[in-house]
Amino acid sequence: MDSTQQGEAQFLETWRNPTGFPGWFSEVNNQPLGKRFMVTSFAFFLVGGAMALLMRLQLVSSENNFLGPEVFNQLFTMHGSTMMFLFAVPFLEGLALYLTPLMIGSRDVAYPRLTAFGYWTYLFGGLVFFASFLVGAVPAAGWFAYVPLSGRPFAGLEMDFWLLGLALVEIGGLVAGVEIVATILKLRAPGMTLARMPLFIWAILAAGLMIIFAFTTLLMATLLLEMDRAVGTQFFNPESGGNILLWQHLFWFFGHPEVYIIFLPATGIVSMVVAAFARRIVGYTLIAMAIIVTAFVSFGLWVHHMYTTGLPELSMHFFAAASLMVAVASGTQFFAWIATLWGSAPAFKVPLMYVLGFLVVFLLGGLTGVMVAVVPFDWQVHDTYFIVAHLHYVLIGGAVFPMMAGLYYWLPKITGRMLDERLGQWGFWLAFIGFNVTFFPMHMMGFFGMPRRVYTYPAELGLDFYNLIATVGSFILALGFLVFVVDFFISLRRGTPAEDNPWGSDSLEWSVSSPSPSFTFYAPPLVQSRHPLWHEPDPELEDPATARAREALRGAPAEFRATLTTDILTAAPEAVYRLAGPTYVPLFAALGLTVLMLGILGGWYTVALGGTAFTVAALGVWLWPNEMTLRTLRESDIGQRAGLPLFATGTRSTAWWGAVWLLVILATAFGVLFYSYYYIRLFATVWPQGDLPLPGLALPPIAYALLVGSALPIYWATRSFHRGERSQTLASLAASLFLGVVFIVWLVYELASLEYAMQDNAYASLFYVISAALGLLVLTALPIGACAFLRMRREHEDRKGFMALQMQITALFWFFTAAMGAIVFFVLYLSPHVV
Amino acid sequence: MIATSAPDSLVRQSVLWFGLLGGAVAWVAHLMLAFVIGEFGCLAGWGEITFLGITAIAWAILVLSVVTLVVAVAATVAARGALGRLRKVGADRESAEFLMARLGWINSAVFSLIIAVQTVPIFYYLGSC
Repeated sequence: MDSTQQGEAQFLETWRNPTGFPGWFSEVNNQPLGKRFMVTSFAFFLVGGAMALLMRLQLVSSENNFLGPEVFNQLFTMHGSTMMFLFAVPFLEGLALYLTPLMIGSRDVAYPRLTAFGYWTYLFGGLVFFASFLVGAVPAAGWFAYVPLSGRPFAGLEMDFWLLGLALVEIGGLVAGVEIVATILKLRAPGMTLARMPLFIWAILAAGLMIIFAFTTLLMATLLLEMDRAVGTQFFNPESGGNILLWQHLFWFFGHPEVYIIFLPATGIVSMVVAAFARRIVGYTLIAMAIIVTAFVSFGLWVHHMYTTGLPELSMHFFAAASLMVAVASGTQFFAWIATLWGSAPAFKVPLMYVLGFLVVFLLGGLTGVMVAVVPFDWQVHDTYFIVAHLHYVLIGGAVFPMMAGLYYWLPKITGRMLDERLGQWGFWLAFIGFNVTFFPMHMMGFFGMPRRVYTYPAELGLDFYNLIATVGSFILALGFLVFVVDFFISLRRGTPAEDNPWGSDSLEWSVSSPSPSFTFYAPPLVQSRHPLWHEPDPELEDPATARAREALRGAPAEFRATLTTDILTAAPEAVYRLAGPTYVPLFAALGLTVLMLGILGGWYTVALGGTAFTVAALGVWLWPNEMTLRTLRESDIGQRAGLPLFATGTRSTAWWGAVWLLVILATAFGVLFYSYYYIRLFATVWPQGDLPLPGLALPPIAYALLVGSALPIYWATRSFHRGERSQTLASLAASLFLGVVFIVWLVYELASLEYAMQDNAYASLFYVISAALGLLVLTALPIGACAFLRMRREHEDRKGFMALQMQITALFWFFTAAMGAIVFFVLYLSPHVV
Repeated sequence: MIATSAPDSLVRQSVLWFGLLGGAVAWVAHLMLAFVIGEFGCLAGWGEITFLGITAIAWAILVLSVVTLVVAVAATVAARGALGRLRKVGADRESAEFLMARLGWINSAVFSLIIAVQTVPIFYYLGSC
């Protein structure tokens, strides 16, 4: 074996996924984890579907008692929650995690360990959620969990299962969102400018960004509700100054974008399938525009779920206008797809059949969406089956049909086997007919007054026939999906081996073998067009620096996993980026978090504390740089050969971007708290409520000034570091740490000396929780600063790049903490004196 | 090959970003502020204060609409201008600059339209909440 063969063998060994039972738990590669997300979510989909069938059996005739009201409420809650939280988003995230590196020409996602952490929290969250069946405490307050129904007086342990299980799922979803965004922005192949990204990538980039804002809002809302239930805060209790509509605002600020978080990736699938079958795409820029507009506008539509809550008419009409205008963006995509297919003579294979089914079904769902955006119409049908029909036309038509199209389209790449065309056609027609037979009659049921979320209906309504038809349809629909499952398993065993590019598509994933290898690309591909497989790249036109970098990474490095990072806009190579290999740490971190949630669930607070400690320890191991890795990196010549740095800093570094996204999440979380504060404030006749004293202005300004001022030494530290003044850097870091500690000591004293408890009223709850949130932020900034301090003391010359990055991230986090300190001081201490 | 960039003197990055995001930011500001003014202005009794027969709430929303519409239209014009200049110098149509300019003018035009449509309801509530 010569040295080239040896190098290749080592490269393959480095990228080999761990095998066997223990290896399954240490996997961090995007491909197996993407598959796990999809398989797990599809299993939840089947369970959620089975619940739907049971509900349809209950509703098959009037005044039926097959399930009874209690079980029906549980099933419609679990069905909705399962489909929205455990199936739709995780499935699309799994597909995105699998496909993104393949489509953009990267070897893995930006943060492989985070992918694993996301999967484990999602899985454990789902299991906690379904464990409610085992203890006979099944959530029954709907997938929207409106208070007061979900509050302590009306819901017991079952609601804690819902809140804590979903909190874990939300964390999983959130980290997957960050992963997708960072990967798309930083790991695109050389030459893949924004204008050359596949439309699926545009769609999941938008969805990933939306997840970051929407899921954080939901996570905060669920935490506030759980606090109301577990420790007696009063955010949503009107008797103590809270507001039940606050929950609806927060929930729908997540809930409406959620629909588009599901819908946008689905449209990305449609764009890819349509382009592959029509051999072109019409209106690329218009589709990208529609994706961006939809992503933005979806955050401005939440109030249209609240038309019947008594909001001022004027406010509702602004949202009605915005709701109508989102149809402009959706319509643009729709016409672009039709124009693409028009006159293209495509082959009507199964993926395209599902896309055509989507076009028909989603058109109807979109039209009824325009109808319910009109306030008076919504008032008439809001609590009827018309809405059930509308939302299923949007979600099954807008998401599940494209997902099925995506599965038939990409499974050959994922499994290496073609699915059976004849079974696929059977499955499609059964699903399409079954779907319409199930849900179309529901429009009429709604018009005739059949209320939704109710376990039965009186015979006098005359709706037995419609319900019988819908129930029959639901079983035909289920049969359609069952045919797919059978087709899938048959294809795994006996399917025709798939060619590399069975559909003659244009995007990079079809350039690698089927199934794709774990390293995805042996050498980073070169992109010179929007359709890299239809237009062969011309090496003559390649920039020499890019050619050098690509050549250096051909089957290399062999010692560790690595890929190229590129510029966000131009995709010019910026650095060689080391990717993490297999490890159990993400599993342990997720386990710790699950133990924490279970501790809260059972009221075993010592267990919860243990879970917290375990999670913190796992995160410590995760984040603390491994000496052996650092040595391997120092000894590697890959950077030299590629002409690129191995330790990138600032905007060139994926770690820096990771820190930025973390801060965006934290800023959103604080934004939710501030919104809650002012929402409750504006409805209160007296502030602070319950004649509580105004916050004092003697010591707090000094304490907050110290916190805000602690950013200054950090600034000095970064300047000293760049000038190579080690002792000044250490002294400045120490000063910031000291000021942070002083603030924490004061905050503990401040909260301990308050004359009221957080349970007294909503104002008190807000004061305590916002203060504590800031305290937690400072407590997170302190170890980050302490790590920088300790590592700086042991600084070696050859670690300069690494330390520079650590200083940048420390400064970023600390500046953010100081800024939050200033805002919290304004909100809690100054604003009550002013307004 | 890396897509060619237009000369800095022709299209400034700030113009491209303003063109791309100006309309969207103006729309966010319009919807959020109109919501806050409508929701809490009515609650606080601003609907009782009138000038030329129009309530303080309606005035505030009209002014807000004009300001945000001007910003969105300015972003549209800026992006359209940048696109024109890029076309003139023959910049690569798949370069990031070209995409930003092209997306920017379409996006900002759509957001201008949305702001205009969102302003319509206030004309039905000039004298009351």
